[in-house]
Amino acid sequence: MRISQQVSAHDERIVLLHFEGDLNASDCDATSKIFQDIIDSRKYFIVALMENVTFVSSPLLGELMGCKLRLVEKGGNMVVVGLNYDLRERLIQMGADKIFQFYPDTHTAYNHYHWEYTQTAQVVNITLPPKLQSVPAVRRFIAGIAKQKGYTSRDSFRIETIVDEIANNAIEHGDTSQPEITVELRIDRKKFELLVRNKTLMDKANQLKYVLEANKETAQTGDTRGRGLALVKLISNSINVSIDKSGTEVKITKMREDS
Amino acid sequence: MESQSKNVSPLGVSQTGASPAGEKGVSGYSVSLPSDLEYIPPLRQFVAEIARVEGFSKKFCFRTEIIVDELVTNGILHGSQDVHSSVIVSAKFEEGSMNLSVQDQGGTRQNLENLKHAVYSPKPPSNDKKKGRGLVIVQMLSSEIKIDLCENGQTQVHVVKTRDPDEKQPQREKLLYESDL
Repeated sequence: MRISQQVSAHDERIVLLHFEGDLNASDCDATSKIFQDIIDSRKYFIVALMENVTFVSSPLLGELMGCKLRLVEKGGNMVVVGLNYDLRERLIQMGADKIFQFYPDTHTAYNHYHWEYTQTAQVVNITLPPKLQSVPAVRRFIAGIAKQKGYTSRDSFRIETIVDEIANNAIEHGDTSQPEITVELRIDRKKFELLVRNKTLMDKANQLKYVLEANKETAQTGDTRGRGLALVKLISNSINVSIDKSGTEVKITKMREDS
Repeated sequence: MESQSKNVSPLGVSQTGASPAGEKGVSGYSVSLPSDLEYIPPLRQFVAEIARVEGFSKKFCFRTEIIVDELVTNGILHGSQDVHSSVIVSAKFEEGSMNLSVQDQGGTRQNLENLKHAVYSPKPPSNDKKKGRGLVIVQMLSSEIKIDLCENGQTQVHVVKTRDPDEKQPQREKLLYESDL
């Protein structure tokens, strides 16, 4: 076994550990010492690069689990990158995927680190023509992102409902000559923000504001429509509308349920 | 902008991806997303679904999904400078074709050479190689492909995919409430 280490060029808090060859039981002590030296230098995030690893023994896997535990106790983590298919399958059979996250490349591992520990929001911008037919694709896209980022099925279903309602309103009640509407999604580990911008005629925009501020359903008992925004208010944490000459912007915030 | 193309005329995909106002029969969509592989499955499904909404066949949409997957994966893995990088995907649908554009932050000189080589002199890699077949597949599935190299180092890959001549134009799926609008 050979291990070399370097501090990441992307972020000096991350250490890259390159493993090579067979990781045997006899390498446990050396591995433990290397991890302890890194922890002593106050670096708690390690990316284990295993592209050139041919074998991982059970004792060494146990040692790596112990090292990861030491990092987690310090508020850090260790992820594994670049395992070949066979080795990855073997480690999964040994249950290692319950302990370690496996990533195909360092770029994805950095993304994971930023997502988990820096609380930076990731932003997705969508521009679409004002066609009601395109809304189902947009709502499924955004709900799919929420699921991919670890939100629960219940959260992503509620997010889908919110996107559907707000995007449909932006198109249906927007200026008929508007060339496009924009949907911006800002997502981090704890919350989800949706901003929908469109061009709206002033009386429609004021009506929207009234509905939101009145804190009641606009629909009368016999009406079949008009309860959408009340539903959005129920399942989101905040809703704001800003209106100016450039258009109307609706901003919805929803906290992650299991955060 | 240095432009290289293989018997291709400029595509005219707008920066925002939205179709110019008043351009009839053209629908433009644009998505800007973080350079993160986790976004690819929902994105490729989104573009395929949009193509379906725009009246293209299931076969066309499935092939579009493969093209999007490949180009965006390449953009993320080889054309991202750091974790704050983003990838912009634009799709413009006209009567019989789709113009797709994937813009990334630009990778290393070697990444760029590999990309040019894969696009302009495509040859499947030998059987012992695990990678390098993606752009060959994209070329098989699309009608035209070209690369634009921007002065700021960004890279744009443009793909045109036309409707198959034997493909019947399906009726657009009608919304249940469409008659009410």
